[in-house]
Amino acid sequence: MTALLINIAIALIFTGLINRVRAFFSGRRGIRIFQHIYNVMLLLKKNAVYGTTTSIVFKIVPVAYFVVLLCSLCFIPVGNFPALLGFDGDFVFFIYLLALSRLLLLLGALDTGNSFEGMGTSREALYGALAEPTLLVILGTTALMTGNTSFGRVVEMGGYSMESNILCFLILYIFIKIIIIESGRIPMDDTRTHLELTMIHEAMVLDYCGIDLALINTGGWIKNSALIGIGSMIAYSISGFEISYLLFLACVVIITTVFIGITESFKARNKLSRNPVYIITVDVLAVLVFFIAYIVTLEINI
Amino acid sequence: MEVLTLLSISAGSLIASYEALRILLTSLNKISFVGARIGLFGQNADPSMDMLSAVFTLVISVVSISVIIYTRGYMERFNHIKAPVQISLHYCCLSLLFFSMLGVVNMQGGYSFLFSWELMTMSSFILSLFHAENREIRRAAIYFLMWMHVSFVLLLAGFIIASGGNSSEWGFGYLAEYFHDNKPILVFVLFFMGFGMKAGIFPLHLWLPEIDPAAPSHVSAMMSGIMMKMGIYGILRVLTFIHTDLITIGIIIFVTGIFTALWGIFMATVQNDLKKLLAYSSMENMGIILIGIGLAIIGLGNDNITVFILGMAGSLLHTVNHAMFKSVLFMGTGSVFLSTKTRNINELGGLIKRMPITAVMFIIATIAICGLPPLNGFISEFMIYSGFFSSLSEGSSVVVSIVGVLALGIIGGMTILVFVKMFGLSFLGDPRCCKSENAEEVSTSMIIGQIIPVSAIILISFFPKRVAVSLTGVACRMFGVPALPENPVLTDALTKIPVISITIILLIAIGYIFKSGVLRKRSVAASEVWRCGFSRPTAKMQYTGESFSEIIDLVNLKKPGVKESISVPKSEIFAKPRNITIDHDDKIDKAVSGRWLKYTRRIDRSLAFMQTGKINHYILQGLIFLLIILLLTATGLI
Repeated sequence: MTALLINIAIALIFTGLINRVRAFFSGRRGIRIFQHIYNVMLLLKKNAVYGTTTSIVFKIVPVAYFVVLLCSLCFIPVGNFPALLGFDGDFVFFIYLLALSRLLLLLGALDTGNSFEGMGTSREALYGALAEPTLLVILGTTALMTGNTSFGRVVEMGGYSMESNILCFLILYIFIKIIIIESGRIPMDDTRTHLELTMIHEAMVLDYCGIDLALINTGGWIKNSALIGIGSMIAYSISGFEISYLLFLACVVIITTVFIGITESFKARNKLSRNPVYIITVDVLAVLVFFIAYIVTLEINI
Repeated sequence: MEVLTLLSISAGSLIASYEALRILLTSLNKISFVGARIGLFGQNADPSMDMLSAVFTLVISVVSISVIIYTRGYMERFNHIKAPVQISLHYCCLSLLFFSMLGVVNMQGGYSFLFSWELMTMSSFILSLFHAENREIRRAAIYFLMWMHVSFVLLLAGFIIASGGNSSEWGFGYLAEYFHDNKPILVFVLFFMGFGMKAGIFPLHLWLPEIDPAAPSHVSAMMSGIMMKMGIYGILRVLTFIHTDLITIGIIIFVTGIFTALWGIFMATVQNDLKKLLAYSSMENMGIILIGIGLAIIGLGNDNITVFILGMAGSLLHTVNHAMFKSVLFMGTGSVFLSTKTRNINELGGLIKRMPITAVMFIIATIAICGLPPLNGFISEFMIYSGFFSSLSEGSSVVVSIVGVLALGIIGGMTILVFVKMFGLSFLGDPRCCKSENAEEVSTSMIIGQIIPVSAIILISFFPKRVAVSLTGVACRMFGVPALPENPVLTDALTKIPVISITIILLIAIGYIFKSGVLRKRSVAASEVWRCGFSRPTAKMQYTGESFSEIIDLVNLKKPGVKESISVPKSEIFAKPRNITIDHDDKIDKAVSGRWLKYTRRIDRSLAFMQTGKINHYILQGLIFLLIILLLTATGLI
């Protein structure tokens, strides 16, 4: 339960931290660190408007999206605090819960019959399909290095040599990229854009409002937190650091937010046609990490 | 006739599934049906059922019963269009197909097996010719027949080589002896290609996207749902006799599986014909099954029993699962076709409001086929994944495992794209064309036909452990492997997954009810969806199937074979209305059949001088032929 609470705390603070970093680099005072939470609380109080084309799918999707992602968060332990759920092979279950949440969002978007949402759906489906193997390969690397297929036991590992720290950093880098891809941040997608034709994630949620939009936004934060949780756990388990996990996690959160904040401040978004290449590069990097890990486990003396 | 068919199939499937369950639940080794001896095929032709046959028998029975119930409703529309004899022939072939498939999985003798195999091909050929007035359909059916006979020849060759020329006694029983004494690769490859053709492996799948759209939907459900599984059955049956060179064979199956699945899913993304899309998706699922089998065989070769069990039980379960959800999807497509008269995704839309029950069953099958929790497709993919991960965690066959994980990941993601496109564009949104505006819910018997496999899906989803343990037993018994006492994935994970799934479903239900309760106290308005301020939207502005899959271009995978050429002559100042057809050809089709056709035509042309049309020339040619034979015999060459 403590693990879940810590993860929820990360989920709540993550977006705020990125906003602060961005504000700092653009020389503004910026919004309050919890402004996004106030926004969501405001949304929760609003009335609802539903499109005339929509069916019941559109109304169930936000709830289901939120519940599925919350469930995925329950699988992630934090250091010595065990996860709420866990079994052998929960790697796969976790990834497929993320995939299920994506399917729900896609169906909800198509239910509006809105051509912009069709665009967003088609893009998100392709990018999701390309990004899914990255996570799987990283988890494969973890299985190879730690000999486990459950998050609960991965966390007990650790104590590798300092040489494997290179893997630790690479994996963190890949996870930051995955978060950028999954949450649609620059350079994948610009959440602040106001042109429907170029949107990806935002185009899929154009027609949600009030409680539904609040649920979907919160779901997005939970997804980020889940990805950070497993990223830092995996990186820690195969690294040689001798610091406590909570400290490590805090460092990871700060590094991730700073990285994303700086990227958002200084980079332009990709041309839409460059996005697949961007994702495939991350895929290839993941495969590379896997083979480095394989060589490390072979313990070849050079 | 239809009552007769219904009775015969239900009686047959009840008896068969009773026997199958008896084997699976009591772990009997084998039941021989001596009473049902078929004297025609010699001594070893007695049908007998072992555990592997029992699994397939059960699948055949469940799908066939649901299909025949569905067929009653489907055929009502044609009862007064078609001649009674055509209807009778159709029903007759339907039951023939059912019994021949039972024969295929329960016959061990060579003659009797191949007889059932051929009967299966012929009856499905006649079944797919139901709308034979259409030239395209006749062409597709003949194409199918041709491929199936290539498969038949390969199987025959395999059996003959394995029997060592002993023509009186041959069959599966004699393979064990052959594989014991000889290198198995050659004969295995023959069988693999022969059976694989039925299962639609890459690149022998070409008949599949042709015949599935051509046949009526219930026949496609039978063919894609269970007839393709006969190929998988054959491959598994042959594998049970092989004990050497397992790693090579495993890698052959594994690589073929990956190519099959990737080709299938990428071809499926660009299809706009519902049934063609489903046909390619069947190919993809066959690929997943083969990936699992390949993993299992590699595991067996490495003496890694855990991997073997997870891979084999996973692919057996996926075989069962695919039979269930694919038959629902095909029957659902049939319902859509009956009430809208179209299978083109670009003309559908908004069916969830017009055909709600079909839509609910369709979405259940969609989630299942995407391999997502909480439904059964996830359970089987989970087992195969666990096989790969446990192989990785033990550090054995690492490269194979990571390639498998990578491939399954891409396949899983693309499957979501394909089925979101399929379900989302045809059932959600607004109707894109008047055809789907007037759609109505189909008759009760068609719905009942779909409910049977849907309930099987739900049963497997929520009691996966029982099913998985039985299938593990089958895998161990068939391959002579000692059963593992405890496997954490099978015992622990499969107990927890359904509990978590049910909790998620309950939480979603509670959350939805709570949200509705809150909204009841507030004002809920309805309005047009956001269209960028455009005030006169039409349903035609929605995304279409074509635009949905256009994104594939971004990955630099040229959309396979798109022909988009339309020219307006200069003299035409105001362009007249034109029709454009967009076709997605299979490149393999061109590579395989196109080129061969060119060569055979060339050979034919060079031989055409012999065809003079004069009878005396033909007699001369006959004489020359006889003389050559005489000379060759005299010199002892033949």
